[in-house]
Amino acid sequence: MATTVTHIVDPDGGAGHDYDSLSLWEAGEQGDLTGVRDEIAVAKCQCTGGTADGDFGFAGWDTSPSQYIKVWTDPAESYRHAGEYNATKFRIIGTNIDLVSVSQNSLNLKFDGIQFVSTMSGSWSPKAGIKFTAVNSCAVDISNCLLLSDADSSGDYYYGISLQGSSGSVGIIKIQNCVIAVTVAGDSASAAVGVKAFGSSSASSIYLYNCTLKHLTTGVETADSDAVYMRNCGLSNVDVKSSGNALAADQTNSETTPTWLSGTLYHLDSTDTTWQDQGTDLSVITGIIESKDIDGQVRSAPWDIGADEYVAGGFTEGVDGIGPLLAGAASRFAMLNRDLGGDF
Amino acid sequence: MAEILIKLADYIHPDPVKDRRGVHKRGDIVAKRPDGWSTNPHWAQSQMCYAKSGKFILVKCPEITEEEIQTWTDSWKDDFGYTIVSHNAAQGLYMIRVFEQNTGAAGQNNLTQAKVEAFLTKWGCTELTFTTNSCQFTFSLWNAVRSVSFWEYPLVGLEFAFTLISYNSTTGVGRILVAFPVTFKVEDVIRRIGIKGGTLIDATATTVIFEIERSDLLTRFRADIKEAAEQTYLRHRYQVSAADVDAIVAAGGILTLTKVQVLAKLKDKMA
Repeated sequence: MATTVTHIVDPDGGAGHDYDSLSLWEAGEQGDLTGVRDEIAVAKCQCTGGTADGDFGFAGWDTSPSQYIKVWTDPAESYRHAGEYNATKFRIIGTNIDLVSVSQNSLNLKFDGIQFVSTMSGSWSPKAGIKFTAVNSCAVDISNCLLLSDADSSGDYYYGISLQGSSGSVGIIKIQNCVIAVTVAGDSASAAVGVKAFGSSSASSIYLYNCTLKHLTTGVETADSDAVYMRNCGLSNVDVKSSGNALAADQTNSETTPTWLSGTLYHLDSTDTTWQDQGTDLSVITGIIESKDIDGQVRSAPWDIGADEYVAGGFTEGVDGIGPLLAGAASRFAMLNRDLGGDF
Repeated sequence: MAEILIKLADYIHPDPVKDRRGVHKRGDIVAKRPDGWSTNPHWAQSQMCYAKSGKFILVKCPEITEEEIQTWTDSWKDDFGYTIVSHNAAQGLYMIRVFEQNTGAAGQNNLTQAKVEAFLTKWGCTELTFTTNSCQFTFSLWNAVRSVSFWEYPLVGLEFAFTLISYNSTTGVGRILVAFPVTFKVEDVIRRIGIKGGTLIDATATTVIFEIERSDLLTRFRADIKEAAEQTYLRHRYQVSAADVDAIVAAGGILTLTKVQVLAKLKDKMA
């Protein structure tokens, strides 16, 4: 059985840290996990002083389904978001750049509880929260993550998750309990796509379960033979639910904006009846990762649509991180300004 | 005023392409850090203890800025150049030559047919001819606006119908009618046109009229090829020699050098 080897990544270099960036962790730990190491390589992300991490990528690893890479925030610690953007929790931020680039096939990778924040400046160059340029034989789980962008101008060209396969690609990508959203309501981006799958005769399977997609031009855009299984997903202010190939599964998704809990962007209010209790119990369905919601609350039948499962009193995060997002563009920029060192 | 992190531990991936494009090699410059970084809890004091873990060595150079080091951590990437060999404005045809600018001294990263053919074909390019480190082809404005890459949809040739309403060879502006199946939402079609530089003129539920200017189209074409076809050749372009790595290790894994000394040790793999 593979040994789990955990390294602590803390951009603030707090006590006990191993690496101060995921980029350096990847450079230090890259290798063959399947051979002598027989290892699950884990980056446990912390944020002891509020500093954001930057972009990084995976290439040149050797992994297997049981000897894989995991990048996460531990919900038992205090560095994970609670399903809303929080500028004091661990996050990866970049401008006009792919935040995570996966440019190798046969990669077994899990992301759990990470905030990916893409700021754009109308470069006309598509940029992604997570970009795969070679999904063949990849097995990827992305759960409980926020993939956010401020894409709201002509020339802003954002993909939450971008998957590019080559001929015969058969990657399996599971995305669950994630929020993929533009954080402002202008809807003026040239493109803001939740999941974009394209390539040359790629035939990968993409499972999109219990995700919240908000203020996007397109929820899912596919080409070639990629199969997208979309279940229990909530789309709020999304122009086009899916484009390209027909969805391989289209089950209990909603395009009606729910009633949001006051002071939040992605949590359901107790009075909501459009997403609350309107989903399907997916616990036995292929592609499922877990039966909790984005902030770790156990889902109960009937499941809610979207990343959040309404639980009375379940969202207790302070408003500091989310307030500016609700107050409009000026406040949003003020918030990002803090993250970017004040010169945004 | 910066510190340079250099990879010490070596690793060889069994796949030679992954090894070249993906692996951080011994001697590669992998990261920059601000001056004084190693005296804080990052080096000997860190839990993993960078200095003792055998993963990195470090060079301190107070005379160099972080900005100067930035490019030293970069990959060796493709950088395609373009030359318009000739054009026929009346017919909207361009003969273009594309070539690799970051070939390497021995031409090890020359442009090849395998690298670009599929991408050019998806833009409707024809008459592709390949010579050492270059490809010459015909780029047709009319083919391009009907291509798989313009619409980012592989079945466009089967499901979309196009009519050229007008083309002004002086201004280079074409006006095009596109009819599409009801399975496509008109907002989606309009968005795809905008991304490629077109301007909406009129739309119904299943048709759109748009205009596009040839230089905008050529700009989007080049940007798309850059995004989709250009690849990483080597994970890191710059490194220090094995002898220099050994010298830094012998000095305890950390060494302070002048800017002149650092530049003398810096090896550009592309040169």
